[in-house]
Amino acid sequence: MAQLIGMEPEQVTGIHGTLKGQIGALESVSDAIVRVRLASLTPSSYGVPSGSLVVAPQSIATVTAAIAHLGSAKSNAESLIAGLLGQVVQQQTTSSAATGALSVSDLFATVLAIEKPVSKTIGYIGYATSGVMVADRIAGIATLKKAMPKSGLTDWTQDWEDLKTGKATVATDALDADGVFQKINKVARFVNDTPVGKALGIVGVGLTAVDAVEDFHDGHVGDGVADTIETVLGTAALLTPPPADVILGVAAIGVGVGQFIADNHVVIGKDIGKAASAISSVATNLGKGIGDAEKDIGKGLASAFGSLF
Amino acid sequence: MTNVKNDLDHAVLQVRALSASMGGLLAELDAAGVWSGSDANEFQTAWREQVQSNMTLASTLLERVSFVPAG
Repeated sequence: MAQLIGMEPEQVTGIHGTLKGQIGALESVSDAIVRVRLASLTPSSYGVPSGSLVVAPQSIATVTAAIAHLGSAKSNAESLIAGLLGQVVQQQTTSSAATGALSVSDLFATVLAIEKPVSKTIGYIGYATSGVMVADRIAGIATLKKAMPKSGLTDWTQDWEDLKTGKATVATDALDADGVFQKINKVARFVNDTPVGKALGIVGVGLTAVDAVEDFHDGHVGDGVADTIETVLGTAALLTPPPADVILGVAAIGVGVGQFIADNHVVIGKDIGKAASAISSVATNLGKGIGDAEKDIGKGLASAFGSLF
Repeated sequence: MTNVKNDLDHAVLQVRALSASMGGLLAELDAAGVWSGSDANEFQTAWREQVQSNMTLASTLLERVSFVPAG
């Protein structure tokens, strides 16, 4: 992958994964100490034989304090490594701009991939509001469409049913799900390592309806777009600190939604409103998950999708 | 649980081992070419202050624990 200024994302990703595992181990140790404390308070309840050593009563508070410190260590570590992911995305974007592979102004988007154990809903793609010439975008989009099947991005579009039935809601905890970062990195690699990716970043990936692109470029979704659009773009990325906002900063519902609607609008029929509602729900939840400052993104998404149907 | 003292001693060792291991990972993160700059420095500082210090405090406290025979 392209060399990134100030950071080697893949190595950092690996370290992140190991740290995450160790945080899990720390939690297990802390749990063991909790049991030690309880067993010392009520030895018979924990099968401690009479005469076996237990924590002295005057040391129970010490053990309690130690458990609290471990709890703080764990929660702080979790918070820090979550922020680390955001740093990676931010660094990748900054690096791309600095190396000329991508312009930040062009790449006015980043990726959020969300996967839950039971139900998966993947949304992605923001859109550029400036910096990319429309003609370039149209040409690039056509090329990107051809590249899509090889990009792996289409793998993210599964399980629409979960989205439609509301099973796939997006919550902040989902952002910690294993694999999310890898998916983000996957797109980053696609963007950095392919000519079309370098040309356009992830802007417009999956779009086929040029009119829709232009409509979005103009900042609105026109009537009739729903008939032609294959992908509905999400909204802006937040490329500013704090880091957590970077990874959370893209609320997007992309390829899967548009593709499904394009392919199944006849089947969906009268339930299209339900589908739209589900989409709006996800968008709203994304907004909630992102935080107060960014709630408008979720609202904007909901509004945008609402206007489509 | 039949041997509280052994379990606690083992836990202390684990906390120290994890702390050392995490410290090693942080050192990897800090290695040349992996991650540098102000954000990286802030992360390292925050980790030391918010994670490492708490783990050290915890293990230090646990080492001071005294034991008595269960009644």
